[in-house]
Amino acid sequence: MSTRSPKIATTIGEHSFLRPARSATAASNIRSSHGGRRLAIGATIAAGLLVLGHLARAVLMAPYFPPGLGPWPGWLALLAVVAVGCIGWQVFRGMPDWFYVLLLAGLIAPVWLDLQATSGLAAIGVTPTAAPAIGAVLMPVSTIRSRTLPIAVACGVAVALLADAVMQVGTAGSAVVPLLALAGGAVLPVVLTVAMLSGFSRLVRHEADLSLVQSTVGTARSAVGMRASEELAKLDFDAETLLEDVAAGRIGLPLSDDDAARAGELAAGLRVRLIEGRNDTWLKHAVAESQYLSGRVQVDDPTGLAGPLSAAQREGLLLALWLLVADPAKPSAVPASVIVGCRELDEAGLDDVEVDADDLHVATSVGITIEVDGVIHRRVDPATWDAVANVGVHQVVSAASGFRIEITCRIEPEALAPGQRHPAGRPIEEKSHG
Amino acid sequence: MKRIHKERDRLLRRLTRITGLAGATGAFLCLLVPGAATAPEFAIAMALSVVVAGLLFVHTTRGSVAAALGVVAASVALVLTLGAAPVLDPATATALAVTGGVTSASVAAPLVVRRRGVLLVIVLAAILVASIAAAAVMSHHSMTEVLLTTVVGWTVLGVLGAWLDNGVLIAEARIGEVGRAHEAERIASELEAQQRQDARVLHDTVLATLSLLAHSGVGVSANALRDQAGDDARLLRQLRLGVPLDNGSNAIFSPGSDDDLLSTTFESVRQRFVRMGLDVSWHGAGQLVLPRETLDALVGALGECLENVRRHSGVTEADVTITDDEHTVRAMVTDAGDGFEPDAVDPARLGYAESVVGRLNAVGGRARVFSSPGSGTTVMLEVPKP
Repeated sequence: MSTRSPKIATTIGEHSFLRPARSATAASNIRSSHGGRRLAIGATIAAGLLVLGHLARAVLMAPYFPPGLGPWPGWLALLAVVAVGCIGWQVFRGMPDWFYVLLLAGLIAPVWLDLQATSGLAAIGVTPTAAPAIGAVLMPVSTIRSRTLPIAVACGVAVALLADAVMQVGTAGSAVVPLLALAGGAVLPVVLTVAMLSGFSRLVRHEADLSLVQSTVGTARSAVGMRASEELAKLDFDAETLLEDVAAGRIGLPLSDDDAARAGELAAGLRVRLIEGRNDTWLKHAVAESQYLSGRVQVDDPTGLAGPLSAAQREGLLLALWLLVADPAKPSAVPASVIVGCRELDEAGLDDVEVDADDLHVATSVGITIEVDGVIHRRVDPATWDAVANVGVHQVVSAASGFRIEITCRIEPEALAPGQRHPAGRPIEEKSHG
Repeated sequence: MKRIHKERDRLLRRLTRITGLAGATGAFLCLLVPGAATAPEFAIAMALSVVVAGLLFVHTTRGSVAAALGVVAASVALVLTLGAAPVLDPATATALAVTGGVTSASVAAPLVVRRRGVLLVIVLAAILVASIAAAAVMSHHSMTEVLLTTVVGWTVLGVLGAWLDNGVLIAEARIGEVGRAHEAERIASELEAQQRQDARVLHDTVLATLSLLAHSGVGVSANALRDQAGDDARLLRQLRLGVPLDNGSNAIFSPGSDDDLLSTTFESVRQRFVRMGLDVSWHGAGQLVLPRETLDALVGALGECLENVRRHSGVTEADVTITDDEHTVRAMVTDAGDGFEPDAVDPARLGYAESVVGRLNAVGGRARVFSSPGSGTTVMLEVPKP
């Protein structure tokens, strides 16, 4: 109902219509918390340790400096930048862009002072200390703002150290090697932190999505789906508003063309929601509601055969699909398309299955085919096969540009639990307990 | 092992791979600097570097603890080989520092999250520190920087691993909360949707009224249409607010098994059509026990048939006759109107296929049409008894 008039759209402010949005927000809160505060604390502690290490080196080297200020001007400049940053963080209650850039630019001062103080001293084993410590300082910085900029700044520091090494190679010989190592040591902590943060947020994003989608596992065999529920509620509300306006005389009879068209649209929408889509199952809803599955997995189950799968089978199937598509860690393992098809198995073909003369005619087994295109089956996460094994007996057939998983699912009679619907729409009689 | 913990270990091993391979490569390059080591030591050190890189690869792909311990053992061997040599070039010292503080320390992150991992990491770091100290004592070199780098490297990676683990734990708990909340939301929302879908008879009248409005209420007086709209709006509001419904409209919400359910439901349908200008006479059984789904389908199909009569027959009267035997309930909708040639009219055009046949088929019933031009129409609706 994208053509709903704006007037009606704005009247839908009832909280009950925003239900799925709430969990979506909650999930994205975990997601967007940028790797979590814990990680930031860990990175800060690690950074502190690294800075202390460099400081200890400075203390050890201080006696070998020519008379003067030794390594300390660089360290004082670094301390000043960090202090200004911390104070600004408190004052601005955050990190405005200009302040952030200013701080990063301010790091030029300690680098320059440190390289000045140690220039030409590599031969006697004196190397920069404050400049490589910047790599450590950038670790917590990369947890609060963009991840590429700190890496770029660390690379800048590394380049400065390399240039310093190149200038001294004539006088110091192999004694410039520690400088090269320090250049690497300035970049590595930041790269590590960024890798950790992006890996962590990917992990959280995936797990959150999976946990949201897994709630479809426990639904009745022909559930309406959250999206459809919301749509139905909206349609009902729109219809109510329109009918009320007509009843109260706010809309005159006969209706204007616009209003008549709206009534027609509402009727068509309601008809679709009420009559069609009754064979949609948890599988369709799960795919539609998942950030990762929607658009990548197609479900071909016109008669709702996936409905009677048990919770464990559903979970296995869902996890298998999810493992097949949602793994951007290995770009080469992301399939071009995944199609899930459900069909009724020819029961005569199953020799040991005893077909009850059940007038409900419930299929005792369902064949599920997962067709994967664009990835070979060896590249797939091994956990996928464990998940598939929970669904039923399966075999893998390799194809030209992909593979096909054929699963035979046994439907347990308990799947017809009380309150659940028969695929044909008849309610299953409640079993009396005790 | 939980999935999220597997993912955590995978991430930690990825960090190990970045760090460890960077360290191994760095140390290897340091040893290539001319004068870094004498020939036999150089050969051993090269071999050990390759071994370390290989073990790191095994550890980060398979997660084998033995390979991680192997990395530390090979690092110790490297330290003892190069550190105990008579000459300690700056390049060699750097190679040692990198091996102690980066390459070998890289295994601290995945190991620290294991059970008793902290202890294991401390022991391994202590072994490495002891071997560095031993080398320093044997050869009288100052290896303070190597020692410092090793301690800092192991601590930093241990801290990162431990806090990542901590973050994952917290995220796991929060994901669990959100998942449970979402499940509750789903149940509530699907229950609500189910109620809405179950209020099929209500939706039938709403659909009929909306269709009338869409067609500018042809054949119905403005007042009747306004009253009908008001009634429907009130019922929709009650459905939305979950207000307990008064007796008259109760049937519209498909309650359990009232004895006079059928007659009440039929009566509400009849009244609806009376208002629209079609007089429906009712004949036959008013006491039928049918499952809710079946009853809804029958009444819905009946309403559609009557709507067709109202719109197309050209008469203002229709008869509905309900009969039943032990297997089947039949409803016959008869009018004496214009009639039509059933074969000549595409059933889909009347909405007949979807709203009548589709509904009845869904509960195991069927519908048949008897008509010819000029002699009225009879529609027979059949549903099975439970």
